[in-house]
Amino acid sequence: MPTQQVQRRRALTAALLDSLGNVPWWIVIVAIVGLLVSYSVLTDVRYLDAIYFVFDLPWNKTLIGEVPVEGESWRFTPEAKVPLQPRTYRLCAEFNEAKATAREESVLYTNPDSGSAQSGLLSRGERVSFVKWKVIPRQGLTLEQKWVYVVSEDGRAGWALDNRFGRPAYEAVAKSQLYVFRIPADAEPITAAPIERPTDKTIQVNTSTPTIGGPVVAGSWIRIYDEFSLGRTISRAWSSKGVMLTLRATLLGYGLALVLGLTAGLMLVSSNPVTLAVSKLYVEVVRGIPLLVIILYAGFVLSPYLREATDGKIALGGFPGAIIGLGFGYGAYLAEVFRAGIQSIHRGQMEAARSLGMSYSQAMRHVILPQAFRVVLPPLGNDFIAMLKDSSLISVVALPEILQQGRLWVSRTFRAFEGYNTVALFYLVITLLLSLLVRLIERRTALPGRSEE
Amino acid sequence: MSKQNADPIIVMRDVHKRFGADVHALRGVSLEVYPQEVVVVIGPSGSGKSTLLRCINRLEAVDKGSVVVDGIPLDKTRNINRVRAEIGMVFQLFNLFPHLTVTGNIVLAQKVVRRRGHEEAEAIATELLDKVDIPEKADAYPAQLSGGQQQRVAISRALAMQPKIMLFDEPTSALDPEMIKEVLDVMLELAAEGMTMVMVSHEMGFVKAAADRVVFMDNGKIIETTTPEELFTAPKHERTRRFLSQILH
Repeated sequence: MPTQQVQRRRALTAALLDSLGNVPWWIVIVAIVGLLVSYSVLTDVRYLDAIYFVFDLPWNKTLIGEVPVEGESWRFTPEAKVPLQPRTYRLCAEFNEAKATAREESVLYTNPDSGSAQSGLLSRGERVSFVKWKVIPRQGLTLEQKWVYVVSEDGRAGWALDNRFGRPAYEAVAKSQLYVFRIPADAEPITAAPIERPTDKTIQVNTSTPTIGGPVVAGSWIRIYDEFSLGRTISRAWSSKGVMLTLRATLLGYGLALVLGLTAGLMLVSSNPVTLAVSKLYVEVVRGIPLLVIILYAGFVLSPYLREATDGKIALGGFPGAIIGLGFGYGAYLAEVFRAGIQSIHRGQMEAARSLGMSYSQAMRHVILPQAFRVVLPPLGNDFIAMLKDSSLISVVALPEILQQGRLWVSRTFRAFEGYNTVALFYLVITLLLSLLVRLIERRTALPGRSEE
Repeated sequence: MSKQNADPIIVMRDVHKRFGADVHALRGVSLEVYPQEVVVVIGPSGSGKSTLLRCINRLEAVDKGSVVVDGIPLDKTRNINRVRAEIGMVFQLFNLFPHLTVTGNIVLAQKVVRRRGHEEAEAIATELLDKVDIPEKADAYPAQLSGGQQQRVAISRALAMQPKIMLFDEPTSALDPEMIKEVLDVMLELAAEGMTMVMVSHEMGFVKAAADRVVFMDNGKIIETTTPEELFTAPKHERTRRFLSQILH
């Protein structure tokens, strides 16, 4: 009996271990992301805030113009400096903070990201809890400036800034996405305007100089935003901070490193003593200096020197300087990779190509390099991933890439754990996706008839 | 010796070649090859046969002496690529380009060196693959072919350049015995068509069937040059006799 039990337990353990070994690698990512997301949802919403901040998504729509409200209607005639192109625009009625404070009324605010209209009659009471507290994903809003529900004297509810209602009016208890407001019994009730226009709307502009207008709740401001469009979002994403800056720096820096590395690698296998010496000097010197030092050189020595030498005609910004530092530093490693790849191709290949009458460079281009490329693909992929991680070093020249954004967020919120978790998560997800991509490319470029793995 | 009426197409005079300080691979070799002639070089391992062959298209530069191919002396100042385009070479290990298909192998140098259009080059490739009897392998990669098929592709690749001379460096010694014949058949056909061929090989069957002259080398020198008949019946030199007794069992 006991032996049977032991056997069964052993078999079960073996099966478990076996299935662990067969877990697809992407399950690991899903598990990590899932753990972090569920942890953040269960404990604190601040992960979302950190992710928004570090990613720096371009959620802000482009503001076309602000429209003055006269009484209870608005009118907008575009000026020459902000012409409206015939296109679809998004119209937002926004809460006018200054006026509302003065009049002691909460004016309806429409939040374009909140989904459903958060309006309706609530029973008059001392305690209001507002669910689905949604972070307005706009950079610069601190925690005190979130939009909250408040209840007016006559029982109507509306959006308002929480710090507009004065300290004696409530105390907030923050706990896991649900804010509970306790309004003390002796609090002054706040008068509120009726809730009428909970949503924003889209207007179609057909000519370049239209006059548009309509009724509006008193105390609002009208703002006209560009309608969402994928192309503009992508172009804005490309130029945004955080993750996109890291990707941009890595791509451009790696491109430069590839050019430098291939050139130096070809020079390393040449028989000309001068090119050989130059390339060896480059590789040995650059490999012996920490990348951080090279980036500091590029940022604080090369850029100012160039600016001075050319009377300000060539003024490298921080970003091009960092790219040059990254590319120059990694070029030396890639040079060695390319050299090894070229030398791994059998001598007979070059002889066969030359015996057909090809020149050295033709043989390199058509015969040696295509084969060497397949050999160096895995190390090139490795170096790309390593460079992505090392791109965090450019934060020393004050570029707001992932790490810099994370540190900024931490210094604002004093939440180091969540901040650096977010930073690490971004790097982890990007590098895992990249290694998948490298594997795919390897499989694509593999030659048929070769035994695989 | 009827082929020796014309001017020789390859003239080597007192060629010396050293590898480093110790290895003296060629010690004063002189050889003339006439158009349409088939010359087979034999000799023991390390006798300088392959080096001799590689000097003809300057894969090895000579240290002393001169090599003249088709009236053009091979020296540093010449554009060697133009001369090499006229000399086809087939290697012991085939040296096909593994990243290209069979057709790609044959087409590449035609396009890059001869500046032929894609269609013209492919037509030539198809024709040559028919000739070497593997038209169905046009889209295969070298690694998918047998050794004999690879060597036939290598021959086609060299022939596609329409060379005046073909050099063969032990073309059958890396092949399984069964595959040797299919390669030799192609070479016999070439010889019959009047291609000038210089070949390093120990295929005595081929020597008997197609060679005009046999050159026996030992220790970096040409010991004797004879016809195949004389070689098998009455070798002049003692060293040649000993060598033949070793390889003809």
